[in-house]
Amino acid sequence: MRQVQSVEQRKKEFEEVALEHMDSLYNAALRMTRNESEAQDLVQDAYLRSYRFFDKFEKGTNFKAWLFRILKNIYINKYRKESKRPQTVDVSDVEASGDLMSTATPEDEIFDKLLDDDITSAMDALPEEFRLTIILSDLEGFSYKETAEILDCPIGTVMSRLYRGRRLLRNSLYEYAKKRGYVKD
Amino acid sequence: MECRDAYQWLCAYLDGELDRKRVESVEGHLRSCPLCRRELELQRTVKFLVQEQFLSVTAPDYLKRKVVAELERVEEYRESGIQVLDLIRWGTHAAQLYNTKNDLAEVLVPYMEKGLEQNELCVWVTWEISEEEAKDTLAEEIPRLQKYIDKRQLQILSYEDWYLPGGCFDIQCALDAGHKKYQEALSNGYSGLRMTGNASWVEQSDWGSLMEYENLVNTVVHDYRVLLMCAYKECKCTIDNIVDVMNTHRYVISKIDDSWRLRRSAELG
Repeated sequence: MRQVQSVEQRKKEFEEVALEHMDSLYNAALRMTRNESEAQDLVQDAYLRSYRFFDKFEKGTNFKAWLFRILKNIYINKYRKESKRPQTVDVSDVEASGDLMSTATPEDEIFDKLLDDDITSAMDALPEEFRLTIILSDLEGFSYKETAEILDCPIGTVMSRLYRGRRLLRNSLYEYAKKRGYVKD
Repeated sequence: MECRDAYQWLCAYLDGELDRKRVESVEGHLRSCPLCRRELELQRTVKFLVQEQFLSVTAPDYLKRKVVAELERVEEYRESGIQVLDLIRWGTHAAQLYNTKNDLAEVLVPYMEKGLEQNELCVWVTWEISEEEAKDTLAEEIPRLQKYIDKRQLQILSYEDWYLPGGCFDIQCALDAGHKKYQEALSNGYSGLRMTGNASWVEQSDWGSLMEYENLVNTVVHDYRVLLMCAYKECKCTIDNIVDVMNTHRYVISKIDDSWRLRRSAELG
């Protein structure tokens, strides 16, 4: 009887601290997998795995970051489609100031006109390392240190990926804007 | 501060990640550099756009209900031993598409090892490699293998003995053999049955019968404390065969770019 109560208490305690993060986990999972059904499976896998290892969680540390680390690991091992080899991005292209710098219209005005689908497509097309960093930092609000711990990389790498990732995103959004005729040559 | 240095810190400046001294240094540069001010605005615009677009996404209500329900059943989940599958529930019928003996071993050795660790009766039905070869392959990773063999927790059988006991494939015989092995697992105190069977012995003329068998397995497997991993040699399969394998297994894994990937993950039925 004592054993049953303890299992129930453990489950209750887990649900209290874990379920409130479901929207965040699902949102991140959706941007990771780019597929609703896989995102749901990924979230469920992350909950089962974290519940199984709930005893290993160090109380007083950041539970949300712990959950996200589990989510990221399952995504990498199970759901990612990209090659495990690091993707190479043409840095010169990212660093170049590009057409946008010479446009008269501010970019926020140009981007305001874009369709939601364009922004989603641009985000989904980002190479994985940049996409994951933007998800954790810009969407989930993790600090650079927390993001670095979740992604197993140095803080300097987080900073560089964010900077370059946002630039890649901007270049891509600009191409959509050009295609739709929002940018005048 | 030069532009090149400022670029390095703009992102962290925007995100409030710099100490006061560095903030002052960046702000000093920004006051005198319109290009870096523009760059900062670009970073801010993109960050805002991403937040505006995606922050309102919420998980569907049924996902929450499903997760809570699965947590109730957490004891039914087993460590598969295979990184790409992670935890799998009793009653899972999965398939592995492979091409080489090494591919086969990469999946089956950790799969069997984990089953032995978790007190499951483990059965490997081999094709293409002998029982002795399978045993040697396992022994490389499992130091106390002989102990498991001696107490019959690990059984290695040939495909002829398992699938073709009467000289030809009989669906009912194969189902009965599986059921008998399951009873053996439970009556000997094991927590369940973990099996892998290599189905690549099948010629195209028998393919229909094999798929009929796989479909019948799906109608009953979820009621048992059983894990099944069917191995199919990909280069021996036609495209239609692969589609059939995809449609008859809860998970299908194969090797792409030198790593194991989930080719299919879907509820059956």
